[in-house]
Amino acid sequence: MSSELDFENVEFSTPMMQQYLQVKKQYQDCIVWFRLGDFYEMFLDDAVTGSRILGITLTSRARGKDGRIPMCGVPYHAADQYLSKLVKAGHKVAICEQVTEPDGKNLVEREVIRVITPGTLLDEKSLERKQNNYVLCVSLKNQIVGAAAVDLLTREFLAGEVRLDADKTFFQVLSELHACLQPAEILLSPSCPAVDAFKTSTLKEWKLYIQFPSKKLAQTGEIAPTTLETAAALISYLQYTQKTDTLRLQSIQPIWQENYLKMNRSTIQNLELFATLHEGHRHHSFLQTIDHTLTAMGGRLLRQWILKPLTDQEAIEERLDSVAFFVQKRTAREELRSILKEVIDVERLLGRLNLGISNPRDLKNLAHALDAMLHITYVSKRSQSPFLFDGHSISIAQQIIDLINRTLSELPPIDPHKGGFILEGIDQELDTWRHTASKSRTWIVELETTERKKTGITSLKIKFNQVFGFYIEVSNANLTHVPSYFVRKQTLVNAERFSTPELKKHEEIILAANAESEKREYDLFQKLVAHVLETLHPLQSLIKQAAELDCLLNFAHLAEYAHYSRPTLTASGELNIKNGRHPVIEHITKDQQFVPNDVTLSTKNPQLLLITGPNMAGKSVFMRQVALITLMAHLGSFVPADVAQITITDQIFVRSGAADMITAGLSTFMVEMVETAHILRHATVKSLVIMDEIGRGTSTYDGISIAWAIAEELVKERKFGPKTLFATHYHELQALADKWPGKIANFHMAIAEHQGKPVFLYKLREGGASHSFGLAVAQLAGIPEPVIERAKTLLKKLEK
Amino acid sequence: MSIIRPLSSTVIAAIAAGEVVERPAIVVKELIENSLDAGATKIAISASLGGSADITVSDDGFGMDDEDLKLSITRHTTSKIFAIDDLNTLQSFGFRGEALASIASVSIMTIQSKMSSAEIGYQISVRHGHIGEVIPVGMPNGTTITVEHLFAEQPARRKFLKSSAIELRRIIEVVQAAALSHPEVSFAFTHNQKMILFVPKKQTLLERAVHLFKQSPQTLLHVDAHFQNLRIFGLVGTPQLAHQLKQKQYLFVNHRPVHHNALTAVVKKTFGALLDPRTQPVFILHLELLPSVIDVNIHPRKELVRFVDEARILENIAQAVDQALKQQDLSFHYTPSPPELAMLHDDNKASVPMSNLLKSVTDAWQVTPPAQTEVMQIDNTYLLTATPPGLMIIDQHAAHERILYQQFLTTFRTQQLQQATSVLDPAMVIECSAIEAQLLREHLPTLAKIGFEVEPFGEHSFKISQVPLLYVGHNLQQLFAELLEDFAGDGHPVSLDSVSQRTIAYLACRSAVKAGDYLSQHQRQALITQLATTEQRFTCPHGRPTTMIFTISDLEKMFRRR
Ligand SMILES: Nc1ncnc2c1ncn2[C@@H]1O[C@H](COP(=O)(O)OP(=O)(O)O)[C@@H](O)[C@H]1O
Ligand SMILES: Nc1ncnc2c1ncn2[C@@H]1O[C@H](COP(=O)(O)OP(=O)(O)O)[C@@H](O)[C@H]1O
Ligand SMILES: [Mg+2]
Repeated sequence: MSSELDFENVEFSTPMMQQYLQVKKQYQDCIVWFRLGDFYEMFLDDAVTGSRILGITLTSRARGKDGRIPMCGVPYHAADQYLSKLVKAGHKVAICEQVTEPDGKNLVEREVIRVITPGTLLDEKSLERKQNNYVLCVSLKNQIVGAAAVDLLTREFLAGEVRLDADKTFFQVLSELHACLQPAEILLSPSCPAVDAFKTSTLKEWKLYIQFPSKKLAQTGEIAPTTLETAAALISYLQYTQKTDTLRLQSIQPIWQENYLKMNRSTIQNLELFATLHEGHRHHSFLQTIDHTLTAMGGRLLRQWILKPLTDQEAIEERLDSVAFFVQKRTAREELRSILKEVIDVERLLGRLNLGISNPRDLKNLAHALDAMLHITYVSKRSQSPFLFDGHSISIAQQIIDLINRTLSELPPIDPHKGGFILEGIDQELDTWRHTASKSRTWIVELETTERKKTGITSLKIKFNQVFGFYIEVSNANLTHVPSYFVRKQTLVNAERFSTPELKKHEEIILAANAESEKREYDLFQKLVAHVLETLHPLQSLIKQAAELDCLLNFAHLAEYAHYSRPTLTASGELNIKNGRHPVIEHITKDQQFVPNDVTLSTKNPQLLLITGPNMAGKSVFMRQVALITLMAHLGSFVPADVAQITITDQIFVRSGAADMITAGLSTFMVEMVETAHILRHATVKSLVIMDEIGRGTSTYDGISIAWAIAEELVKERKFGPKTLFATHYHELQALADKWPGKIANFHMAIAEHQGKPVFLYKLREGGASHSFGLAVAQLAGIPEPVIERAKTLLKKLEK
Repeated sequence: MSIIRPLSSTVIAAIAAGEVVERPAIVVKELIENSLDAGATKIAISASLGGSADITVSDDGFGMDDEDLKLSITRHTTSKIFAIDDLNTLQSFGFRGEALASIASVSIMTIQSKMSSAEIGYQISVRHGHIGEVIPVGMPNGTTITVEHLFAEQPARRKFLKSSAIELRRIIEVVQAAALSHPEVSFAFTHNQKMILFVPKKQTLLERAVHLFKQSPQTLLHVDAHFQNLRIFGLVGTPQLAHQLKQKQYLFVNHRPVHHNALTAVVKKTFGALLDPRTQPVFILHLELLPSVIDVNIHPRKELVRFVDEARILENIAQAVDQALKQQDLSFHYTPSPPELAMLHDDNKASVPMSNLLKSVTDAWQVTPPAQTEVMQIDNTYLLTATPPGLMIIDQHAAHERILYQQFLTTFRTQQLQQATSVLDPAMVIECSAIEAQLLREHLPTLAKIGFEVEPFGEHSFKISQVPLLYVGHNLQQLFAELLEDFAGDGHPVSLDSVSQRTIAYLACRSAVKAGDYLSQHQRQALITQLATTEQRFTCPHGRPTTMIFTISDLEKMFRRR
């Protein structure tokens, strides 16, 4: 930018602009919001950028010798929405507040109280309700990638490290993290290579940042060095943005999960777990279809569950037992769900409390939400639910509710500085101030009566307005009766306004007492917050349990409405599904028209189903439904099938021909091969592999040969091959079944023909498909008749 | 292999009923019955615009092959009977082979069907009687029938369709009856893409009834009695559930929903003294008996049956119900549930204002108590008094709230404030918090209109120098504190008019006597007298009832005098 300022050399003559410049120098990478009275003002280049993004008028004010300075501002009471807009546009905003009261003489002192960045946006209205808002920090040192992520409002804290190797590049690690966490902001250490695919920023202060928190973190337990460094840097960054040393994060959880069913980025995308492949929409994603949770916490947890499917059979059965209970006990389920429906996002509320941006109303809402937890406990006990909140947390919650309700008025104001929310009898000092003010007020009202009597002016009134304070108003007709001790303040058209020294005195008493009690109330509020924060841990644990309950009830609700049944989990290595359905496609298909399918797969007979059939025959839907049913069983959910025997699975791989990663600059075929290589290297006997149209991205003969070789590799004895569904439109591959009898079996999606057009039956049948209906599909799609005719002749020639 | 066959002309002559399709609900009924006849375990019904735009019923029953598909839409073809004697062993709902043909002649009907033994499903369409060809389709086992443009070419009949809401209600009735006839089958009903009703598979009759009617299971008593060649089972509602309309009376004969006046009357008679004669018992009764001892062929819509030995059946019903009523101690607390008129769907509930409903029910009470009658107050909350029809109980807060609301409304509208206000000297000061002050400022104009003179007096204080006469002697500090709470709960007002309405409602609520306030004998009488002349006196402004009446016969029943 040409107008960019050279902060070292520019000078302003007015003290305020000098102060501004001081601040701006420290926060050059931020837009500085400079508090002036009721506005946050932006100056110079910030004003230009700000006005453009926010669509507000850019003005310029004459500033004495400094000439005209571009500026624009937003009113402080509507700041949140503007702030979100700027941050979402990719900017950081440093909020510079007045920290001393204006006294009319000296320049007000100002300080940056918080820096807002995409990952530290705290305004709930602009955050996704059912999704975490993470800042991710990544470092690279000696081929080891360290990663740490924090959600400031839910206080979740993840960290860990991995070693890079031949098929795990830095970029891959980063994009896996990105797929799982969907961070709002990514910070890189200076040692990381540049990345184009995602927006990232490099932490230049790395060296400085890693110093202090490291020591503290190291005390909390055994942490590997790169992890420690990365976590420390992230903490420093957050402390810098929040201007506080105490973030009170939850204890560190591993960012790379062990002991969970693993799915990589392309599996997550191909199964459309969180967004559809084509449009990237959330609508009709797996999560959206199965998510009927009622609280924001439940919604976020369900998403986390999907990324961390259990592999411990006992843990899964425990969830399934709870779900089964709630499927059975409809009344209890409905009752609990109706309570949860009213529960606000207390998790983020606690987060705001923790960061010191809460208000009295929040505390009251907290009490309400905790009250709902007590109610849930009551209903759970009465209905003999296997899922009960832990007693300790509940008794803490009870204490907090009592404390809040004892201290705060029923409907406290939002602004903690404005007073009027602490109940009487809580604090003597406060009560005294209030009493003082109220005595003077009563004196003033009574003055109205006494002065009427004294002067004989019955229409005499004592009034109040913001400008003049209290005054006595006498209409022109009665002016003759006005006594001498009335001091004239203002003359109106038909009345005059007066004061008396005593009135003035009482007015001052009121003002002073009000100011004192407001201050006192604010202190008391802070004390109350501090008190609540002492119980952060048990309250957090209670909220987590409520979120879990929400998820379990969700599964039960879903089981009933969508006719799911309880899966049986085994360690047999066999997968057996009767009348399985695809949870999403079934939901979209209207009038129960979805065709269910059976499947049996094992470690040997058959271990690989080779599925042939033309486009649109239902191959992909079928294969994905097997993956999703397997996944759901590991979540502890009932599944869309009549019978599902699911063996504990360590990884699910879904490789699909069409998905691309053009952003990474790789060709479709290259991506396909990289991912396939990854599967061949990592799949185990406990994995489920889905290969959809492999070899599609290259020439036919290349494609056939590669697909052939890959299929063989997957069933080779020494590999203890993974259970595999392998869809292809290369009919030549059917010969594989003869070569690997027992291991590879031919299946196809059944098709009927009607007047030369295919009719898709969506039913999986044994044996290979006879011939391709590609032409018929083309016809169905409306390709002009002459083109079809020509293709038919060509096909005949080729087939000879 | 086809199993549908044309009936012989003699059979046709004996059973044919002619035209049966009159309205969407009948289409739904016939289609559901076919699905149930086909052994379905899951039936999904959807419709739009009360079924006049489209109706779809899909099931997972045994389906039809291509041959049957063609035959199913011809008149007098059925798989359910072949000779007239087959009616003696009839297990199905259908037997005339007319429904699909009739529906197809007045709509565009598409049937898709697949048998579980078949690879392929088939589809056929009939456009206003013109039959299309059979084509193969991929689909799950079962049958899906879609009926669109019902009566599009019969404007005369289309004209007789009621509003979409009414037709919808009839469809709901049909679906509900079917759901109670087969509690093991899952039903889902969607109207205009919105799920209206869902019941899962494999419920017991009790579970199903509780699910559908949101009634607590304790209020439903089991009936189960065996007689020679007859089993009677089901549920009867405890007397508390009785109400004045013949709703929730379901009778099934071999699962078929039927009407039978004599039978209904017997059930009521068996309740006898337990029931107010003007109210109707709730029951869901299933009769299972040999098809040979009933005649189902007496009504075009198959809604009636005739019993060969009606007298005995009535007697057995009486015994069965009596047994059920005796198995439980019914000396209950009389809890007349608020008149259960609203349907189970919010949709319909919203369309009928609660006050209207109550009015129609409480119409029996048109009398005010004689002025001298003693009025009792219990729990400082309820007023009890004798009226000619019986014991009247009034919720003092709800009643007073309504009285004040109407008064304020009148004052507000007519602006006759002069006589009705009183000046406070010295004035009163109230203090509030910052937001409360803001809220109060917004509401000052309305308050002024109903006679309050309130002015800002200090930053967050107000001076009250004049109040409506009504308020003299009241605790204004508290009134305003509560009023402010209500304002605050509402967020920002939208328009002045709705603000006024709400302010008045709040004022009425806040200034009314509270539950827990002691009232003098004079106040009690005054309240009742005023209520009697108040408009919309049966509910408070928030829709709760103000008055309950226990008629003499209610009392007689409670004390088992009858
Ligand atoms: N089991 C099924 N029942 C009903 N419709 C299905 C089924 N499977 C697939 N479909 C429909 O067919 C379309 C194509 O399926 P898809 O699996 O993508 O085909 P393929 O992978 O063979 O090209 C899906 O979008 C869906 O609408
Ligand atoms: N949902 C269905 N599933 C299987 N068969 C059906 C279904 N609906 C209709 N049919 C067949 O079509 C025939 C004609 O139906 P309908 O006209 O309703 O006459 P009815 O039910 O009296 O036999 C039935 O006898 C039955 O064989
Ligand atoms: Mg029928």
